[in-house]
Amino acid sequence: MLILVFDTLTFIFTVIAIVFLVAGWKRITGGDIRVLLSILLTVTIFYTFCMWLEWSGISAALDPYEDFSGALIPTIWAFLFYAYIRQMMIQDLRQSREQIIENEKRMELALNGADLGTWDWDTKTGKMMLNERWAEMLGYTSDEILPHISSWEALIHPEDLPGVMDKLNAHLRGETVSYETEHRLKNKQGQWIWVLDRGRVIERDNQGEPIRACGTHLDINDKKRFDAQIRQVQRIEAVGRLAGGIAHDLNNLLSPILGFGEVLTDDTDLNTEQREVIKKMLEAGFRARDLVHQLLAFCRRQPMEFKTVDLNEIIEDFTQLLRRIISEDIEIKIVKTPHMPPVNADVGQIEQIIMNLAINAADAMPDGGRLTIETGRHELDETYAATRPSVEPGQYAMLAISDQGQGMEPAVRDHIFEPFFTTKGEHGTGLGLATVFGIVKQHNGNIWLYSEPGRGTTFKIYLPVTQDVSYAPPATPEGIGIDLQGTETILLTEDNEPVRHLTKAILERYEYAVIAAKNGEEALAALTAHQGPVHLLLTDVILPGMNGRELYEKAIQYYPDLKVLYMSGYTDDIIAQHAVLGKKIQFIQKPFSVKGLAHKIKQALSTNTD
Amino acid sequence: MIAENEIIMLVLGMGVYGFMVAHKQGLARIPYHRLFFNAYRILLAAWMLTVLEGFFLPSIFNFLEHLCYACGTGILSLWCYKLITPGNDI
Repeated sequence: MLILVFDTLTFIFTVIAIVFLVAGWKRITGGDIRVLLSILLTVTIFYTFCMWLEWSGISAALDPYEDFSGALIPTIWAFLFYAYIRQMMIQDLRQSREQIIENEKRMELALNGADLGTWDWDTKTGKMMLNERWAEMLGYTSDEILPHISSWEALIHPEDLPGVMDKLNAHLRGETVSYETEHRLKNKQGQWIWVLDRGRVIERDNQGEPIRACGTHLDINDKKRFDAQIRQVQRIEAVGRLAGGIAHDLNNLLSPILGFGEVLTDDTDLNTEQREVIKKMLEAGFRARDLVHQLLAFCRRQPMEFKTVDLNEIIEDFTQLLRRIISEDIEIKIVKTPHMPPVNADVGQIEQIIMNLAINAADAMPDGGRLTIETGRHELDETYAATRPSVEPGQYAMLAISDQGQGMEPAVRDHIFEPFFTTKGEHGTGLGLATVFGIVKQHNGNIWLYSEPGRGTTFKIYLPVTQDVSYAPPATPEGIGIDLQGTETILLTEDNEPVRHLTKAILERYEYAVIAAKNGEEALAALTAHQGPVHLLLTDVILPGMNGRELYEKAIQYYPDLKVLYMSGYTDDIIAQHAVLGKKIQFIQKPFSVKGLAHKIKQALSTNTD
Repeated sequence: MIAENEIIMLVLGMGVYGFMVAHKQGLARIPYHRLFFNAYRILLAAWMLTVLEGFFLPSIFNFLEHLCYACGTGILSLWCYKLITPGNDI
C-alpha cells in the first residue's frame, strides 16, 4: 500500500515538474536542454505509471515498456548533463569572444584618446602593420601608404634620419631597453610634422636577433610649437632683464648730465655759441633718455598709471593724431565693436602701442594700402590657454592692428619682439615692437602675431577685462602756472653721488632747505639730529642697507606728517610689484629734468598722506 | 529476482554518475545544482536498491526504492520550480 502511495507521489511530482517546465519554458535557456528535460520527465512519468499499474494490480500489460523506459532514464540524464556542459562551453566561448571584442574596442578607444598611431614591424621582412591613425597623422589613408619600413624611412626628414637610425639600430642590437625619438615626417601636403616615435622589440630569435617590434607615433607638432614659444618668451625675458639693468645704470649716468646741463642753460653769462653747444648736448641726452624709456617699457619696468578705460574711446581720440602721422596714401579703417568691456590700462602706453604698430604697418606698405585697427571681445578658454604659454583663461578685450604689407618670413617672426632686432636697417631702432611687447606684458596681456609673406601682418593684443570700474588714478596737477619755489625742508637720500649733488643743487635753486644723506642710516641720523620740521623725504628706491620704503616707514615714526617722493632708475617690486603707482605713492623716474623734479616736489608736498 | 533491465539501469546510472563527478566543476554552474545532483543521486540509490532487493531483504529494499523514487522526483520538481523563478537564468 505504501509503495503505491510512493508511486502516486512520484507520478504527481513528475507531473508538477512538467507543469513548471512548461510554465517557465522561455526562462530556460538552451533549446536542447528544454527538450531533454521534457523527455526525461515524460519518460519518468511513463516509467512511474507502469510501476503504479503493476503495484496497483490493475494491469501488467505495460511491463515490457517499463524495462525499456527504465533504461532510458539514466541515458537521458547523461544527455542532459552533456547538453549542460556543452552549453557552458558555448557560453564561455561567447563570453571570451565578447571580452576580446570589448578589449579591442577599449584598446582602440585608448589609442584614439591618446591620439596614437601604432606600428607593428616584422624586422625580417620589413613589412609593417600600421593603424588608420598612423596614416591619418600624415594626411594619408592607410591604403595610400606602402606598409614597409622603407616607406617610413622615406618620410623621415633627412636631417633627422641619421639620429633616428642610430637610436633604432642601438635598440635592435639590444643596447637600449626601448627606442624613442622625436623626429619630423613629411605629410601628404609636403609639410614636416613632428612625431614622438616610441617602440621596442617584442620578439627575438634564439640568436637574439629581433623578429618583431611594435610601437606608437604621437603627433607632437603643437607641443613643439608651444616649446618654441616658451623658448622665445624666455629669451625675451632674459634680454629684458639685461636691458633693464643697462637702462637703470644709464639712467643714473644721464641724470647728472641732463640735470647739470639744464642748470647751465639758465646761466646768463653764457654766450650764444656756448648755449648752442649745451643745447645739442641736452638734445642728445634727451634722445638717450627716450631710448632708456623704451628699454624700460620693454623690460616692464616702466611706471604705469592704470585706470579703467574703453579701448574704443582710446582709438577714437588717438585716430586724429594718427591720421596726421601716417602717410595719406594709407587708408585707416577703424572697426569698433560696440559695448567693449573695460580694461585696466595706462592710456598713454596703449597709445604708444597703437602708434608703434601703426608706424610699422605704414612702413610695411610703402605703396599705400589699408591699415585696420579693430577692437573686439574674446573669451580665451582653458583649451586655448593650454596651447599658449603665459595665457590665463578669461575674458579679454582685443585690439588688432592689420596691414596689407609684405608680411614676414618665419625667421623674422621668431625674433620680432626682441630688442634691437629690426628689418628696417639703419632707419629702425629695433625697440618699437619690443616696447609694445613689454607694455602688453605689463598690462598682463598677450600679443600674437599672424603674418605670412605677401599676405600682410596682423598683431592681436588681448588685455584682460577688469571688473573694477571704480578705480581711477589721482589727478596729476598740470604744473603750469604753479610757483615752483618752496620753503619746506626736504630730506634727500641718494647713494649715487653725482645724482645726489645734482638733486640737492636743483632743490636749493628752488629755495628748499635740503638735508642730504647717502643711505638710510645716515638719513635717519640726520633726521633725529635735525631741529625743526621736515616736510618731505625724497629718496631713491634702492639704497644700500635699508631701501627707500623701509626708510620712509622708520622716518614717519619721528615725523608722522612726513611726505615721501620716491625716485629710481626703474621701479622695483619694493615700491610697486608690477610698476603700478598706488594712490598714495609719489614717484619720479630718473633721469628727471629740473622743472620736472620741481613740479613733482610741489605735487608731493600738496598730497595728503592719509 | 534479479531483472536484466535493472542491472542495465544501474550500470548506465553509475556511468552517468561518473560523468557527473568528472565534470562536477562545469556542471556546478547549473542553477541550484545541488538540488539537481541530489535528485540524480537519490534516483541512482533507487536503482541500486532495486538491484539489491534481488539478493536480500526484498520488501525493505523495495520499500526504500519506491521511497527514493518519490523523493528524487520531488527534488527534481523543486529544482524545476527554482529554475523558472526569475533571476535564475543560466
